[in-house]
Amino acid sequence: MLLRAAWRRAVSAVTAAAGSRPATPSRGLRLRVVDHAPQSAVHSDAAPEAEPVLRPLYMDVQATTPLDPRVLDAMLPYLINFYGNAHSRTHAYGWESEAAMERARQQVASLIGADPREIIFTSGATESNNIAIKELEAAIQPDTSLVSVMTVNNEIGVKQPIAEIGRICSSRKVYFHTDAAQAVGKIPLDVNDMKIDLMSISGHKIYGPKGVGAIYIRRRPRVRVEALQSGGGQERGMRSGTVPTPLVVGLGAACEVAQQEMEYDHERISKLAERLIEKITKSLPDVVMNGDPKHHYPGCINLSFAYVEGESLLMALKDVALSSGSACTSASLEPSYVLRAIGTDEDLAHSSIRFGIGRFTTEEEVDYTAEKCIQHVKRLREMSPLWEMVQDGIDLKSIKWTQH
Amino acid sequence: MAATSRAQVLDLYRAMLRESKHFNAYNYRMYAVRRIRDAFRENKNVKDPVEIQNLVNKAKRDLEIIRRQVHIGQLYSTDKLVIENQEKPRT
Repeated sequence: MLLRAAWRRAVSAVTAAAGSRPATPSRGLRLRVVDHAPQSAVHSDAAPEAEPVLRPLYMDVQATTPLDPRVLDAMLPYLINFYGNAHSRTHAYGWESEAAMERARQQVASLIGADPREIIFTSGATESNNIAIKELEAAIQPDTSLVSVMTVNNEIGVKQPIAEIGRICSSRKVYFHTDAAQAVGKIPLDVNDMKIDLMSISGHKIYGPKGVGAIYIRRRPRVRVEALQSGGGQERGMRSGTVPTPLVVGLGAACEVAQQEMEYDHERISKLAERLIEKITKSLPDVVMNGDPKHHYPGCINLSFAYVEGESLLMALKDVALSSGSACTSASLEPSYVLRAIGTDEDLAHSSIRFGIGRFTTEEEVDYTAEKCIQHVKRLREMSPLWEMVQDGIDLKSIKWTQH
Repeated sequence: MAATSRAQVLDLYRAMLRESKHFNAYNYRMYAVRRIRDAFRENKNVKDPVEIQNLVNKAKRDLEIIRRQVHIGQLYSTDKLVIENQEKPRT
């Protein structure tokens, strides 16, 4: 007790000496400065920009999620003292690392109703997807094929009818793979109930670390896959390479936490989603929610604001971290293929924004986001000649835009 | 070890809330306080002493996690969120 108090005093002495803001360049991107009352003299020695800067709210959980503190806590021992290679068979460092890896494997398996022997660790859902699809090329019978479907879509949040698809594939003897990156730990999944043969899992979508994932590969009946990565034969020969113990421990911890918190999170996220949609649609006309509302994961809300261009709304909402369309394709200017596939009009597809609500999202953040969104949509619409025409009662579809 | 008393559970509850309010990161801080309140409320009518002891033991482990993670967060703190300017911190 005394030791800890002394330690705390020492730590606060160190941080006080450096000023409440460390002299080293502040971590994080400085975007906005807040006017505060003049700081004390201590701070004037610090970096030139001594005024505090505020970070945007994070509403982009489909892109990635923060680590749950419980996950970081589970990982740290393996980054500090328990650094053995899980495949070293001859000493305690290896044995303790292997035990941690197998415990993590059990945690992942338990979340999806699988056997631990059916879980292979990978570098993420993308690698898992590649392994699963390569299976098609390595098929033993030339006429076997594979169905691959996302469980929950990352752009519009739609839930696919996985159990029905599984039943159909099983009856036709076709392999069924699902990319469950956005679904694992958020909605109940059972590989046996849903007749799933292959499943991709991503660590950083479920409050776990980046750079790790897993692929579930059914053992009964056996699904054969070809290894993408060959080498020392780790992970039953399906994925060679030293298994990164700290990362898989994080993935396992994330899965265990998700299993415990699934119901609580789902209920809270559903309420927050309703709140966000209600606030926005109550104050703004001509807002369309993309995606089937009946089969929808509440934490992923994709809205189109007519007569407002999506990118300009995103830039205007600089205090909120949001996205339009999927992060993996965000460099291009083309509207999302998902929106085009569900039949969204071109102009509405260009004005879509995705709001992500997660385990750590608060009611205040939802209210702030809704207010800013309403404020900026109104402002941008005021500036829009299209909006003006609509207000005057002109039907935009009747306009002849070209002169021939 | 004698069974956990109501007073001990309340002490644990208060200790967890107190510690959680020290999270630097807004999202972690709000989550921890909310989750602790909801979890204790949800389990307040549990009667089975074995189950109570299990829950108390888990809570004690979680308190240690919170202590460690609060401290780590303070070592790596960064700027506040836009929303923290307006609302009262440590609610």
